[in-house]
Amino acid sequence: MDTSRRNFISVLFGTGIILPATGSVRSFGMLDYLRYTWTSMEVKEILSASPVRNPDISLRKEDSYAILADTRKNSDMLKLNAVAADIWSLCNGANSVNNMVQEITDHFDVEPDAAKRDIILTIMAFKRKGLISLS
Amino acid sequence: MKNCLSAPLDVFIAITNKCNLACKHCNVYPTRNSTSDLTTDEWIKFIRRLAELKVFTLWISGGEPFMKDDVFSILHEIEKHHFHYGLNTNATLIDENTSQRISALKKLFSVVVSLDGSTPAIHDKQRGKGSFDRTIRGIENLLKHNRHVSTYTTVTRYNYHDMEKIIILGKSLGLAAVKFNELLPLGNAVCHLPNLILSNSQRRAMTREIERLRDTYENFVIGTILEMSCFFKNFEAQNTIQESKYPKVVNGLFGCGGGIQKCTIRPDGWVVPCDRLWEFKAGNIRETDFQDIWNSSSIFSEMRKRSSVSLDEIESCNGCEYKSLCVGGCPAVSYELSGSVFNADPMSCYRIYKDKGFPYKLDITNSQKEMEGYAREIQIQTPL
Repeated sequence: MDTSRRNFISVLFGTGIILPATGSVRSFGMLDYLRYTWTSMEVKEILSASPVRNPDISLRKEDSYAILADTRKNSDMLKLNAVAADIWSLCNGANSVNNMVQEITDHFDVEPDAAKRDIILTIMAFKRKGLISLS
Repeated sequence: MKNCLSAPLDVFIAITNKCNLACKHCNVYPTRNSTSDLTTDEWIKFIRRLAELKVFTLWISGGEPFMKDDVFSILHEIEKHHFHYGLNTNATLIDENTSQRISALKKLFSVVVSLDGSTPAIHDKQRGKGSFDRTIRGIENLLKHNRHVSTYTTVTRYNYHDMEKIIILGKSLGLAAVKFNELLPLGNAVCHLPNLILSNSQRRAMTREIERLRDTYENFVIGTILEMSCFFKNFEAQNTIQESKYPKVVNGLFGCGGGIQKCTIRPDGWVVPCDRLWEFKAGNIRETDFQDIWNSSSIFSEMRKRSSVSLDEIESCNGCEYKSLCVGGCPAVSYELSGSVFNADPMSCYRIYKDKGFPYKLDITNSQKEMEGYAREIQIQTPL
């Protein structure tokens, strides 16, 4: 009669942790080229879109972070830091990345370029996990 | 900053104490069949409160949920919100009509049916005469409507040799998975313990068997016995770990998350950390707001302190070479056997599992006497 055990919270602290580190010194092979091309295409798509939250994903805000859960299934949950939670809330189908940069720089002490990079990386992570779609 | 979530992530709701069976291993306490169940209106109000608090997952159980009058009113209320939810049932009351109504519940992600044997002779020994046929009919009705159904088997002396046949039966019925869990010395199980509980040699044989079954039937086989076998495998591999590379760190007690990320609501409205800690009453939702209970109850505060109690501080863990790989097991078993949740659970103890003849001493005299009276009572009440 117990409820199922599951991994409580895979962490999405910001974006740096979940994405491959860049800038390592090694030769640039075919695989890197393909990865770079694919990522460039994704970034291009994100820049031209207004991301929309998947309606089956539910967000709960805690004191200093937020939790995302997929209500279609009993799956893992994601823990978001405050910035990622705000980015999630801005994914309402009306905001482009540029609008989001404006909102984030208004609320957090961050340079627009850094904010833009973080927003793109966060949206990319959301998209890869099926949490948003790009309209 | 608070040291807990603003509300649990999962809530287990026992919507009624009533049950049409009287299973020997049931962990529900003698409050069963009491008349103090929350009304449907009270449950609906509570579900709305859970929605406001953004609880994500609900598990609906009992007793037997389909013994609750108007259970569908409660389920329909759940459907109106963001929850996803599962349902535990013995399926004996699920006829064609009920099954059709269940099939219309879109957010119900899983129905878990209790099945304790592949034949009436085995299943009914644990659950009462006639229950096997009715359970199988109930499962078939659910599956007719493409419902995701899995089964839950409590492994005892009656059925530990029957696990593969249960799997084969499950495959032939079209189940999504079969789950095997260990018997816990709680509730009604206490007074039937000598007949139900596996000896350590039987437990070891059962663990090896479940690993073989997992290899053969892959993800169709799930359950806490497999989790336990993984833990124990880690313990067995301990000698191969280079201590200099992986320094030993002794953990604190950490159980299932009861009071930390989940809790249970009893049919009479009492909030408890887990359905296995039935008497750990943190507060009653009839009198106090649920979030206040969650945030402020001393019971939950105590449960949250467990992780800060190191296994080094626990007497039964003295000198144990496996401490660095252990988190102390289930607090409910520890409470039942030692009177405190701040002790280790012997059922999850690898040292005991490996060395001794029985998982624990059969000297639970007080609760056994109490439960024996209860057993006589339910034998009279069972309709089967």
